[in-house]
Amino acid sequence: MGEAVPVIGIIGANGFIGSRVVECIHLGSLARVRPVVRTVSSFARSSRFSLDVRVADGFDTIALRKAIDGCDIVLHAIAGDRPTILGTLEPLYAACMAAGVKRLIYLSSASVHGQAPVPGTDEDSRLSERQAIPYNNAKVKAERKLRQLREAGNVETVILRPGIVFGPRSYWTGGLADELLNGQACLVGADADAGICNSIYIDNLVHAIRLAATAADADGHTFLVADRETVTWCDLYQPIVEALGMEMAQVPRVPFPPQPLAWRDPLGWARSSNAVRAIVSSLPRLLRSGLQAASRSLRTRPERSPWEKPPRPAPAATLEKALLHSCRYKLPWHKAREKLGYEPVVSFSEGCRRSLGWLAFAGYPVVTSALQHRHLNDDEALRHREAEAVGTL
Amino acid sequence: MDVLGISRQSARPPVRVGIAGCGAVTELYYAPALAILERERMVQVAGLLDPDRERAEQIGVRFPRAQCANDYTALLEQDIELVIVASPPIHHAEQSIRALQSGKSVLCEKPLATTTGDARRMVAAAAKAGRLLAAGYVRRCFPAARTIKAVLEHSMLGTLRRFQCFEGGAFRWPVCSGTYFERESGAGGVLLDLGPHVLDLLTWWLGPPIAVRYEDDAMGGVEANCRIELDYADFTGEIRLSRDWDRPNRYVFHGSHAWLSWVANEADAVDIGFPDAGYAAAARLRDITSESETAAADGAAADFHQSFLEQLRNVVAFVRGDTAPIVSGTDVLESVRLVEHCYQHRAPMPMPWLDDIEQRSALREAHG
Repeated sequence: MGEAVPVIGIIGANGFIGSRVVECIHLGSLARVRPVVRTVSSFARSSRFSLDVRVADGFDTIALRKAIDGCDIVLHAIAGDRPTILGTLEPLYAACMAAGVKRLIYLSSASVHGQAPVPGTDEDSRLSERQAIPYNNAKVKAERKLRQLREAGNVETVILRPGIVFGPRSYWTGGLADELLNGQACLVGADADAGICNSIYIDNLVHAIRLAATAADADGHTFLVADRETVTWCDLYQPIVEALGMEMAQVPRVPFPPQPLAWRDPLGWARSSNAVRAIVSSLPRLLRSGLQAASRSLRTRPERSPWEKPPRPAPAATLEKALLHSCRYKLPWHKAREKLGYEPVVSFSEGCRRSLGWLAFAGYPVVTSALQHRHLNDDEALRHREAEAVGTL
Repeated sequence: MDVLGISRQSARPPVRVGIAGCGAVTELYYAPALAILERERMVQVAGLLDPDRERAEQIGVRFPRAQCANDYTALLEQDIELVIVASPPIHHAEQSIRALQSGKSVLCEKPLATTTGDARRMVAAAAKAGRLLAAGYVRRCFPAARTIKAVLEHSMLGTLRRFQCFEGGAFRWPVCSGTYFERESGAGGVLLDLGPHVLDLLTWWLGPPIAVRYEDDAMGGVEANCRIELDYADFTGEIRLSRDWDRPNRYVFHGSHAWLSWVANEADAVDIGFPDAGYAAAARLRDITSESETAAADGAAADFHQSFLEQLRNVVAFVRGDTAPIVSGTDVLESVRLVEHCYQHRAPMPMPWLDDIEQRSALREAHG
């Protein structure tokens, strides 16, 4: 990279993570930023700054090559479905090689270990491509593909595995606020209140990205990155719940699989589960058709009595949420500390405070008092819980 | 004649139309609406212009008799009576004035102009030429907008206490070029994009405010978010516009007896809540075609697309001398002035998630 200010290309710069990386690095004068987005319509966030924003489809090597011309480092922050996750790696790696990029940082996910990893899980744990959540499998496959590309190519690679990334524009912040306001938020499972949330505030992830861009001994490595504190899903929910003028007691705790209420398709969750579908498809034909007939009969909506008002839509208990909320293990980040020098730069409570500030900025009906107090579980309480949690650093 | 005073039957020759600017708004709205009016023999699209000739030719597929002009002078030399100015806002004033000076009528897409001075020059040019300068502020044609005006004018909510408007969300408009976002190219951000509609409706409904405070998040580029506070004599209002994050696009007016809520761009519906009764009416608007005492609702009121078409019908009818324009250039001068005022008096929007270093840097960049 020489002595010149490094140029970092952010592929997927309009996304939640990409846009905050652009903001942090540009405003922090840490490097020159080259936002790359898929369409011109995606310029909006990056165009708040006077930056050289480029357009390139993640599947198009030639366009990517032009877009990252002159970049020293490239961050793959493209979100999307399985074809996007898997189909953008090879074109981007080839573009990086052609453009003389030194290092490609890939944003994978801690969900490669599943939403509720078993105690003892770390970067060396075996990964499966046969998990119940398709996203996990796609990310596992993507990591493997990237390692193959690295073996055959000359662009260094670093893989980061963040967990639940919250903060401005995150699903876990804005999306949760939307769900609370729409009556769709819930905690899933009998012990959801104690479920551990493997959180990482967005700025801690950006910090890890900065370290991964320059760390000397990081090529070819994979790092779990997380907040310092061990927090529960209640800890993540509570500040947002209270900021919207609600109480945690109002957040429904729903069982999984979902129980029929007034009327609900009792096997809907199973039909939408790839894992269940895979099991059913492997059954003998006679048994399979019997199960399918039973499923159809359960799907028949009973006639509603004219004396009853229709029930409000109930929160959806998805398999993913059920798994997340059943987590009992804090993923470690000591490898990132040792090799990257990573230490979280923003505490969980401060991350929550900043997230609430963003919610107010974005137009959510945040009560004023929520912006004035550090009203989450204080840091002391978090440290106490941290000491008790399995797998704490 | 319909509710807007427009006759749909005519044996007269169609009005010959030229379109300057073949970007997204032309592709999505003007071209389909004009194609309908061509079938009704109300218009004939005769000329098309876009700096990207391929874009003009794509639009021209719908209008086989239209010629693609090489430049604006060539477009004006064609035999056309009405020019639809749908180019980037920075060109609106110049193109409109030149068309008016050439004896054409003009329908200028919003914003009418980026400065009050330009807007006044456009109005003066129309008056001098004796031609129409209509403003493409389609929302004034919405049945919901006209209903809200009646509700507020007749104080049907009681005493108005405050209002809040949120509009925008993650930016999805299919723009064709990055210059749409370039400050150097005269582009504005979300204020110039959505502000003309919002501020025009509010000043149409409520009159001009007595004080305005404005802040946005531009840091050397164009704003993706902005916030406007409006003071009136007896109440206040807040407008929040975004190209960044989805929130319900609603205008809410709180009165002493009732509230009214409108989903932006939902042309034919309003909600009215009566807190004392504990109920709200989710009203789908209907036309009233009878002047009698029967108080009966007729067919469904116009939706967004139908309102857009009505706007065009109105402009064409005026060119033919049939009716007055719904929205003239003069009508929207106040909203042009307010947008300009906001940019001139802008303050940086607080962004509490930025750390101290970023805050300082953001302030530096915001102040240029």
